[in-house]
Amino acid sequence: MPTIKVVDITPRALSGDTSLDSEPNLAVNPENPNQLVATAFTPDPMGGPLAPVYVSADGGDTWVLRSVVPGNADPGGTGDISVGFAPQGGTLYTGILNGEDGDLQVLRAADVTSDAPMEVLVDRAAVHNPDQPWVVAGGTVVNGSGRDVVYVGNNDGDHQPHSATVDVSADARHGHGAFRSVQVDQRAHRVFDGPPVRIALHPDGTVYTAFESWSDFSGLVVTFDVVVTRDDKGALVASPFQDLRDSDDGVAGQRVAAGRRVRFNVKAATLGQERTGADLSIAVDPTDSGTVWIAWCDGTGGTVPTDYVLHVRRSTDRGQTWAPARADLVNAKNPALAINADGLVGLVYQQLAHDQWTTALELTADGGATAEAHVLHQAPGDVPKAPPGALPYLGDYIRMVAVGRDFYGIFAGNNTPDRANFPVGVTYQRNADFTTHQLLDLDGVSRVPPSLDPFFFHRAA
Amino acid sequence: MSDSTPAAAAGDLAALVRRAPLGFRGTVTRVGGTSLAAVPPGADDARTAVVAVTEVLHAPNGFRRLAGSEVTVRLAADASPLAVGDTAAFFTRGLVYGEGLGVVELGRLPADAVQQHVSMAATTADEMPLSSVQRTIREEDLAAHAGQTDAVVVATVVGLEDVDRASHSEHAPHWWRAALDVSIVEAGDVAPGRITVLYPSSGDRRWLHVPKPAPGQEALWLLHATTGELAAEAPFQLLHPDDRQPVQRLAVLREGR
Repeated sequence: MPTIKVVDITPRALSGDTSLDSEPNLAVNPENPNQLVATAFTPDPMGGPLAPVYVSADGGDTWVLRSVVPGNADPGGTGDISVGFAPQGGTLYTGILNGEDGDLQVLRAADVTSDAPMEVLVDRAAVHNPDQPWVVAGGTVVNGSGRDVVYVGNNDGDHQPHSATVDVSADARHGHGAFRSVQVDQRAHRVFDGPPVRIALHPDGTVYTAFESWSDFSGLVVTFDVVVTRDDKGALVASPFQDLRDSDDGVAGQRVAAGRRVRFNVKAATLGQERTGADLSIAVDPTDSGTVWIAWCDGTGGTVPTDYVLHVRRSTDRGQTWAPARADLVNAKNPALAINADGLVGLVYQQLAHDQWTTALELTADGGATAEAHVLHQAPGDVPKAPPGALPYLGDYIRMVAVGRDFYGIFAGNNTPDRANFPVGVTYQRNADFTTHQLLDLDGVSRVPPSLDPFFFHRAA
Repeated sequence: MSDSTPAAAAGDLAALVRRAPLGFRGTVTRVGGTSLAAVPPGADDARTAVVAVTEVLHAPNGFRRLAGSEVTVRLAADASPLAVGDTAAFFTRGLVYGEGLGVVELGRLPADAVQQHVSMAATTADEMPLSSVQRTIREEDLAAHAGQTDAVVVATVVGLEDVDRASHSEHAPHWWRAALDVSIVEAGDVAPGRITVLYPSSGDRRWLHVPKPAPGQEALWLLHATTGELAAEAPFQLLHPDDRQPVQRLAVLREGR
């Protein structure tokens, strides 16, 4: 019988924390799923020069915070951050926007339990606002020796208008990885690409990317296509991501949806304190590299123009044609897809309805016809209050990964200790009184106001 | 420690507080041990100690209620060894945050060396014994920051407008231009009267803490010369969280300089 656990990963030593620890990310060591690394917009607790990561050695039951990431801005912490473990050897790769200077950096840590700062492999200046480095690590064997093949999706303004980019290293474990920057948007007459560039990697060498290609941006409204590209040789060829051609114009990159419109980088009342504009996820079936799922958000559907609608589609022919795989979700965001070793598809998302944020996990084994659904968290959308004008609120992304038959994920949410907010249960490490619904400081007595914490979840098969 | 231990010299204490974000007095309960699985004893076991915190001297907000807890301290390489029962004032930075706190010792004073501050704190509104030292450091930092800017003025916000530069990024600053009516020029090549200043209106995390001028707001402004293509939009810009201060800080600034 599958089980689900949810853990507030804020350690007890940070019981006095009141920061908005949003936009979380997660990596699971495939060789040892008890070892996990999580990230969020968590500042160094003592204002030091390095930003922290959360590390668990016991499958997510307990976590410690270590500051090892270059560029902690006081009081802001790091900029965007994502993480991925290599398939073998335990090396962790991290993509960040440095909190001090905004540079895009790719980092490496040979040992996630070390106090040593992560090593900088790539440093790209912030002049043209690089964005959302998204790390996915794979592996290959060359002459009997394992190599870490690392992909970092990002939005690189240097490549404007074709800014959707994937930095690829065929051997990231050694030296600085010799990362190569690949433009994945090859369609003409574009103005820019949206911030998220997501990657789905299959063990047979098939690698998909998904991005949002903007054709117009005026009056805060973006018109964009949702595009998927594919490379059948791990993107380790001279001209990668040419293996999926659009069925209409023949250009590399199949348009999954065209002419979608959305208000970009603005708060919409329908999403409470959160902004709209750029939500995207893609996952490939580990049992069949021809089956791939995608989820994104735009302004199509809903009942009022400001509704933000989450769409889910599936392809069974290597990305050439796509069909709806789930009913649209209105005023939902942060889709995260993953597919386990049985082909079971997981979708987690966050939805605002009736002034409540709900984080839900759905699993389907039949292409979306039926689903097992769980509410992981639900809480008032106006608690805590973000500072005036502050964005994002919950964050521009969350993450879920599958290792074997298990799903592991992370989301940010209101940390009020109320069992009614966690229908599948929850464990806190920080001091909390679930009877009075109060967070408590290090002394176990003084009250601490609610804030946003990262919550880990694990669905064990 | 003997009762005749002298109070720490003000300069030494300030240097310690500047380097170390967390200071506390405590009593050693274990040597060569750890209260945190994430801080294994090192090769030299005696360089790690568990200290029961009796009093927080200065700390970031989240650690002000640490008294009563045990903290694992990785001792400074050049510090004298400790024995169970020793008391001292420890000046530290964070190392690991788990079920307990692990810190790195950056400096140590005899417990009595800070007694004067502890006694004084009981008679003031200060939240912690070394709050006054931290205040002095902040004033020094403000003076140093002002010294790195290109103009320091007292001025009132009399206009705000969007510079309207296209941006495709969530993290773009979204520059606005503020018109300031300058009443006092403390430093820089500025004349009293109207000047213009760019500021990032974006509430994105990258820019959230940079001041956003509000209509009619009078403040002490620390201004940076605008460079590059932005210089055509306004001669100055706001870039740092400390670039706006209450007008009353002008006196503090003058004293610090």
